[in-house]
Amino acid sequence: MTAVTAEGVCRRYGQRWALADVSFEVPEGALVMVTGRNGSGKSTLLRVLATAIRADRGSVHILGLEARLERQSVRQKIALLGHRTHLYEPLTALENLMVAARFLGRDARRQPLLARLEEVGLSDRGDDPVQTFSAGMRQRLALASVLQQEPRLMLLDEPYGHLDPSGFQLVDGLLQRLRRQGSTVVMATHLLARGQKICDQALVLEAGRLAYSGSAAQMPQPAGADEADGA
Amino acid sequence: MPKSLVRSGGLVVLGVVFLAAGSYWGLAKAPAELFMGDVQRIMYVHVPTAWNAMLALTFSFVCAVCYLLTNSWKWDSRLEAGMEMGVVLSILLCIQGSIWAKPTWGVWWDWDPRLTTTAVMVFAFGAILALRASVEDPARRAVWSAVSCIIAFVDVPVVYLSVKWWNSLHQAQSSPETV
Amino acid sequence: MNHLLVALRKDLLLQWRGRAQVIATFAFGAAALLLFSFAVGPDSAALREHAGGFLWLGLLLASTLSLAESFEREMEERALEGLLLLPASPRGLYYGKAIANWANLALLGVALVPIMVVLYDAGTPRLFSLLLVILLGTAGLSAPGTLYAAMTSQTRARQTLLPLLLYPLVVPVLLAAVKATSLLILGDPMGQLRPWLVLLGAFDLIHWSIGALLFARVVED
Repeated sequence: MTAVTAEGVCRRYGQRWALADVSFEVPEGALVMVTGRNGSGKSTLLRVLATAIRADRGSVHILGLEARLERQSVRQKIALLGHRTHLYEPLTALENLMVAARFLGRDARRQPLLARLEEVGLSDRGDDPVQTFSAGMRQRLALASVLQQEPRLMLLDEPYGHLDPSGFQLVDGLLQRLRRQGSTVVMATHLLARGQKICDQALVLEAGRLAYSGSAAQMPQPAGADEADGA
Repeated sequence: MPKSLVRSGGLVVLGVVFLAAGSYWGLAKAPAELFMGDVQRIMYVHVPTAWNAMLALTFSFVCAVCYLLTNSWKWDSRLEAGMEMGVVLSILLCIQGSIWAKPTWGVWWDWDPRLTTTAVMVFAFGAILALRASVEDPARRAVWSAVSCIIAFVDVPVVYLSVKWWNSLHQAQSSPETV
Repeated sequence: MNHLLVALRKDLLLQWRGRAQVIATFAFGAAALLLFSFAVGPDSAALREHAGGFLWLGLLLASTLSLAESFEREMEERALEGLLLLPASPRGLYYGKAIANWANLALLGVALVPIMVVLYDAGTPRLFSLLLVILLGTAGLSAPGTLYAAMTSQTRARQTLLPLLLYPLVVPVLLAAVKATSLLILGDPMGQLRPWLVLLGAFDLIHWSIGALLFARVVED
């Protein structure tokens, strides 16, 4: 089945259309990269798919469910790693995971959660408040939290963002794992070469419009690819 | 000329005509009241203002509910219009009340429950207009105004009741001439 | 229901972590009570007569500080959005936050009572009834306050908008709570306390219901 079907999706902020008539399909189990210049609408698109915001026009179907009418059901199947970390600054890393785990009805005891922190390399900082974390550490914690949700569709907005090389490996490893589990991944990223290596499908946004939708390998290179790649 | 402009223009003209006719009737033609004299004439303006203020705010409440149910911009525009009217009329109501109170009771404000509730409503709905002015996203502005309007409107009877009880412990009965 | 308990636990934990702020809010309330007495003058009889009013005014002013603070943490990293996407029930999130805010305000109210007693010579032997008035009154502040705090924390003019929106709505709470408190302090020979408690209860019932109904619309897009 298709993981995502977007038809004529439009979203405005005041007078500006952040997304204009975006239509595409993502088959289940695919790894899709979404790319484009700053302000081209990547984050907005991910947030629409995550049901964090609504499309003003057009329709979105996620795993067979209509995003607007069946929002709660859609949310059970997806997870978003957004630009903001969704973390509580005064709480510790473990406490943040605990809150999410409890809402999800999962095991919220110390040991299993410490194991999750271990996966992202934060097991020694479990009892420190997030306030004291660097941007990279916050990102790792956000990653741990989102993995906890075990989504069928994972939405990642610049997952490599603040991470160091070991962090890059972490994300790559996680992507492989999600792939093996059969989850679908839609990832916004500036790292074109890296993305092309891992992803099957690519969506290129330009000023809110879809300029390219197809195989990642055949994606048109932007004039003067200036992104620092770390490939 | 666009149809809407003709319609609005026509309504304005009609309003001015009625206002002029009503003013003449109330200020000149009707006899002075037996006990209160000419001061009573303010009732000819005060009572309709009160009805219209309540009507405008009730209309706003209906628009708010309709907006939340339909998400249509039409209802948001009507909501804004209704609230603006309601606030302006309520302010007028308070001013008229003061004009009546000074020669009658000797004070500008006599804590009459209806008037006091109106004053509270001026602030409640005025605050919603202030909220509208500070939210840029139109969709959010519409939802938040509708929600605030519903809460404020539902609160009106509670405010009235509490002021009535509160006042009754302090003041003697209002004069029977109070409409 | 489960989400309510999880949310409540989270909010109480956040309150506990932010307890330095609570002390500052208490100091603000106490300072307000002091300033009121300066406004009236060293007239013991007058101060005692209006002690109920001063207490609730002080509490009302301090409440906007603590209510606004309760959503700072939710919005700074979009934590609330994160919870909604889990998905967490908006109703549960509202009640969790509103109950935690209620506890905070009730504690504040109780803490200000000794200040009131000392500054205005306004004590009462009916402590249980006073506690009841504080509980019912602060519940009336918390329900609409939590909803509007959620709203205004997402705007720019949040400092002024929250009190502007909240104060007119809670006039019944102010009137009833002040009246009830004054009756307890000054004496209630004709047994007039009950109707004011009923009014507070009715207000609370109305606003705790519609608050939950409307919260989802306020925090979702």
